[in-house]
Amino acid sequence: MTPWTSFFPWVNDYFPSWVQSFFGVFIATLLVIVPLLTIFVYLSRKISADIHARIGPAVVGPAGMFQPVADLLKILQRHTVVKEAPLAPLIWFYLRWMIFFSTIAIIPLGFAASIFNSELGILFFFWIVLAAMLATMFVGISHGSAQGWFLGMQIWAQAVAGAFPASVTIVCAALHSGSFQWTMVVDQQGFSPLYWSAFSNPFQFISFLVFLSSGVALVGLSNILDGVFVYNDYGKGMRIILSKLLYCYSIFLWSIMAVILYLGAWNLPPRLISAATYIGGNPAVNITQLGCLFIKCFFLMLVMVFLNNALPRRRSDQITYYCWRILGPLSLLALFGEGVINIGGMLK
Amino acid sequence: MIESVISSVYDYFKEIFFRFRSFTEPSITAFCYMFSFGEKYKEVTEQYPNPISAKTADDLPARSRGFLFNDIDKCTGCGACVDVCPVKCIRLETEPAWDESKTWVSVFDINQAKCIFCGICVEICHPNALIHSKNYEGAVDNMNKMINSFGRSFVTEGQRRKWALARKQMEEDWLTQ
Amino acid sequence: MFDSSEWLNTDLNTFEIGPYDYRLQAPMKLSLKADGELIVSAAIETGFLHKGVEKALEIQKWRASIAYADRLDSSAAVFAELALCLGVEEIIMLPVPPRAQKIRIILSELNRISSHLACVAAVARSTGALAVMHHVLRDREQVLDLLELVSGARFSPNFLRFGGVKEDVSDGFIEKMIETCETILIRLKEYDKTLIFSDTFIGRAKKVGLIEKKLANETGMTGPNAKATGLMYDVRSSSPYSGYADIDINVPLAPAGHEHLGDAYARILIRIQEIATSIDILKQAAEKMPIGDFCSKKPEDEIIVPRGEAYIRVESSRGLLGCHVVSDGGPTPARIQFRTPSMAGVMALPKVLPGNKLDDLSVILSSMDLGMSEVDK
Repeated sequence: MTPWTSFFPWVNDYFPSWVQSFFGVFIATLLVIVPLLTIFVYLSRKISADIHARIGPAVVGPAGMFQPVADLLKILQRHTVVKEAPLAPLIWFYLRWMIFFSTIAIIPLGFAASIFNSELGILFFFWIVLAAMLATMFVGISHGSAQGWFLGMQIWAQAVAGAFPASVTIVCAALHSGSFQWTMVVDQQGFSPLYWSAFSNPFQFISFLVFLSSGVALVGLSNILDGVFVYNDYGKGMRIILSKLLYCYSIFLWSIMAVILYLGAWNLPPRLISAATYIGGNPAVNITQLGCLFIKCFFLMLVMVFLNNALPRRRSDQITYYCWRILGPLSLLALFGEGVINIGGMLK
Repeated sequence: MIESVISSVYDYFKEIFFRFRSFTEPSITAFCYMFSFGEKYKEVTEQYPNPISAKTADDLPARSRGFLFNDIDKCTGCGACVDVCPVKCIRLETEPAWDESKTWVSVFDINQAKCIFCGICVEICHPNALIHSKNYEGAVDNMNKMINSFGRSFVTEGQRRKWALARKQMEEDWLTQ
Repeated sequence: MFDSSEWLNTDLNTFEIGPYDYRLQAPMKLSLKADGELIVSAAIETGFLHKGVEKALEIQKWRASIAYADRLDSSAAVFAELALCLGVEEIIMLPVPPRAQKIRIILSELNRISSHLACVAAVARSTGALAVMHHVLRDREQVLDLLELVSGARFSPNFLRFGGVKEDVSDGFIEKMIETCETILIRLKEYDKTLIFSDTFIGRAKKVGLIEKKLANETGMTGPNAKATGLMYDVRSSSPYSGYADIDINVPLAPAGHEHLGDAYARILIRIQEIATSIDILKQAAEKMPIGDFCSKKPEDEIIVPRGEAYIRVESSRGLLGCHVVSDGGPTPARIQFRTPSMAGVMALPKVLPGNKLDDLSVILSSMDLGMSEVDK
């Protein structure tokens, strides 16, 4: 926050730091995350249309760019004709949404990592996501019907199955960088792909692939029919928008964790840093770093969209089998190998 | 014992290999579609009310069965179409015309919403008055707009008197010839 | 000590999947009892698509009855038309010119290809392979364009008449048809790569929805569902009609030593092979097309059907379609009854579903290709 508040020196006099961080998070969500997710929604529709050999959004705006805005306005005008949803699933729905989006406070968005630089940075993320999946289970269970219960248990089973290999690979990545802190993880990597954590040694590569696969199960993206959360039939337009936003945000979370842990995060080449400092000082460097981060993040999100559209989907029990029986041992293998390398390094 | 362990380990790794292999073929095909690498992978849809690229009525095959159209000048009011229509969507009312041997088709209403576009009435129409146009866009906000009237509407009393006068005039002319 | 059944809720879950559900392909009500995620028992209720076709046929003139037979099942319309026409022709003892017979074969096989493509698209959709679903529907559009070219409508062609067909095939139709056949053959290879031989789909469709040969025999299942269980019966080869006698048909059958006979995977494979067989038949029919009349009756001829009855069997895309035509000499049919092939599938469902997981419900239902429209008539 400090390099940005240098533009507004009077802020420090009137607002304590917690208010500043609150506004920072609010602005980060509104100006950064939501437009990003809107662009992602548009791109995902265009890409899935391309793969399906059809046109996709093409009417609203040039090449259909403003289609998400048009859809947003249309859904907000929706009238419900069915009776109001039962209360308990609603409460859990909003709770789940709040838990997921509370990760915005701890997302390391470049410079923002230095604000909340706890030594357990990565693990916070992991636990909050797990708690959010627990809330997702309760959305289904509190529905009262057998189907809701069944879907809730499925989601939770997948989340737990994905959590095991994901946690092991997080430990593996932390072993490679020496700490769970975000800044240490980022500093260990460099700009060029050869310095990325994923390609630094074969065990890290295995752990990268395992993280990608198990992260999908952990965040709850794997078994959703057509990408819409199945029991989101509560009618009111705002809830549909929140649900869609949440789906996109969970893809975003998955990819940003993968990018920061394994794909070089926001490291820039030194020449670019000096050029940015020359142009605009520290804020310019921060913005360029953010840009680099988001480009990589976007690329991974679009890979996810591509795979969603190109491949059939697996059954829930096949996913849990895959996570426990295949990814689990692979992640343990990666951890073991990484440990051997590190101890070898320490002994030198 | 050792063989079962080795075979189960082999099956395990074979399964992993097959799973990863099942990623590649669909992904390669989807990749080709994404970037339209050639004739086989082009996109096939068009934006609908696009006047340049969308198919117009002339692009449809010659036999396409769209909304019905009745040429009232050829129609003899025989009622065969009403008789054979499976859903009874045609309403016909006739009256004697100015020439008593001919029929004046006063009401010929086709309810295009009920019509199932089977084409039997077109096939059976002897003077070929009923034809299928190739028009197919029938979205209206009021169902009454879907009823197409082709009739000449009822003959008024004044018109009948004029016809009677004209007939008498013609007879007198013929008698005095 | 303590009895765990006191506090562990081990009752079966009962729930209904109502007429409209994202897992169902057509309106039907399934009452399921599930133990966790395993289905234990299933009961099915139909009738949501009842249109009263058979009753309506009693009050239509003979000439209009063909339009109603179309509506028995939208994606397999020509077969019902064909059955009705063959029935009436048998009563009147009206000969059908050979050219008309070949045109009827062409239309039947085109409709069969279109119906099987729709089933493949439905199975792809139920497993989540949306790209394949769109590609299959794109290819189905080409077949529907052919149907529109020859008859004027994509789904209810209303093209067959008593004594032949309504008019001759349009110019350039045969060439376009051969071209479309070649395209579909190329696409079938593409589906092999993207769907049929992909490990994910095999995992979703193998050992799922197993139908045993005995069950197929008991319920009277015919068509691709039965062929997948090893029950060989195809009306086109066992009792040929309408010119099929001089066409060489190699009916696909699931190989005897194949494991998991009768599961969803076998059904999909059989349907794809049937598409290839139909393309072969189309090419043969195009080669052997004789020159001649396209109908024994003119449109202005009156249709007088004397007293009599006939029963016709036709190989529809879903199985054996039977049509019983009863005439009492009047202007309208006395009774026309259709024996529809999907009914056997519906009757077999309560025995097929138990033992499968709830997630597989949509895969089983879409692979069995139940046309509820023809079940409910």
